[in-house]
Amino acid sequence: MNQEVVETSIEDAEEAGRPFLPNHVVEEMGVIFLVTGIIMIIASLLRPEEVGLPHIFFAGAHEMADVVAPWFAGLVILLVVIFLLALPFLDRSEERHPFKRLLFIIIMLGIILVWLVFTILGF
Amino acid sequence: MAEESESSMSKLLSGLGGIFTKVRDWIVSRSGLEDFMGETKQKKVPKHALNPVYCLGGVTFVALVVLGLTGLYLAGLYRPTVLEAQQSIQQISDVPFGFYMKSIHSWAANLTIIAILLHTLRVFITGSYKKPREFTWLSGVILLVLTFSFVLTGYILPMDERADVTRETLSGVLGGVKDIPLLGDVFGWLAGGAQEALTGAYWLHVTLLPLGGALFLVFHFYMIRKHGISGPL
Ligand code: HEM
Repeated sequence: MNQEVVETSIEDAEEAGRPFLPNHVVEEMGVIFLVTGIIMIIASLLRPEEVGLPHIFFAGAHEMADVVAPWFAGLVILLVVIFLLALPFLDRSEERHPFKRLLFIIIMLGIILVWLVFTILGF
Repeated sequence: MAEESESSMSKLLSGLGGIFTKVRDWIVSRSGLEDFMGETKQKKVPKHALNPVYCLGGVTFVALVVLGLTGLYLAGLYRPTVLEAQQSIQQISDVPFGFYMKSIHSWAANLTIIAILLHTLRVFITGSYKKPREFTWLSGVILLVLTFSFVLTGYILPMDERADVTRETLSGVLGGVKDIPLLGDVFGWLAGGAQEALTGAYWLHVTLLPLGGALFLVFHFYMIRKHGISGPL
């Protein structure tokens, strides 16, 4: 019965939450050690140049530049950045639930899909 | 006997604890941390924000700090000239921890990209860019552009095969920019010769991008602190 209130108000969510000091800070320290630990373990086991992971992030842009035209790839990237910058001013409703902002979810999915397709083609 | 040493042990410990408390109180009162600490002590992390996807901004930050520290080390050993770049990078492996620092720098960069993309996705899905967090989002988008610029300029530094491909693609993708008056001056090096491109990339990688990144990070965190984390969906 209390459920609904907890779901909608930040004050109640905070009330049910966890103290920042020291509980949360201690856990954050744990996460920091975990993250740096993972980086250090991978770094000591694998030479970065042998894995070639970095290429994946830019393979899509390379492929688009190859298949269409370099300036077109530049334009698309510029438009995506402009879209991201403008997003809070385009999507002005109070709704935050993803299913209630379908238009913007679809646009974002479209961007991700195009990126994935070109990445797969380019790899 | 055992009891006696135990009690003198606990005396020592409580004495040390007392000194610690005094030093802490002194630092807190002199530095003006008092208000900040008081406020922070009251703070609670809302239940919905304990979900691990709310950790991704923090993970990005940790990876960036690792990049900054290892980058400082590498900058002292790298030589940004066409003739020496590749050789100096190979020589880093001969220095104590050199290879390790290079490897960590590179892996932390990969982690940063993955974490920042997932963080952006989290913030998008939870609609956290909406009123009143527009500035948090805007500074985030700028941080995203800066992060990718970091990676691209970083690719050019080793002057290997990947550097050539990156330079070629960049000058194609940004081809029109060099004709625009002010932007052309900043990015003109892309269309220049190999040394010009290397100098430009190195300059961006170790001065303008870190400065800009630090500035927008501080602003990002200030905004998050000001508005608090967005409420549950
Ligand atoms: C250098 C990279 C970045 C760092 C270190 C960073 C760090 C953080 C941290 C620590 C938080 C607190 C909550 C969380 O971790 O989820 C946060 C929140 C936020 N970030 Fe970032 N961020 C970065 C990039 C971005 C980007 C690229 C965007 C969007 C395009 C963004 C938009 C936001 C927004 C809107 C919030 C508020 C979320 C809320 O209130 O629920 N940030 N950021």
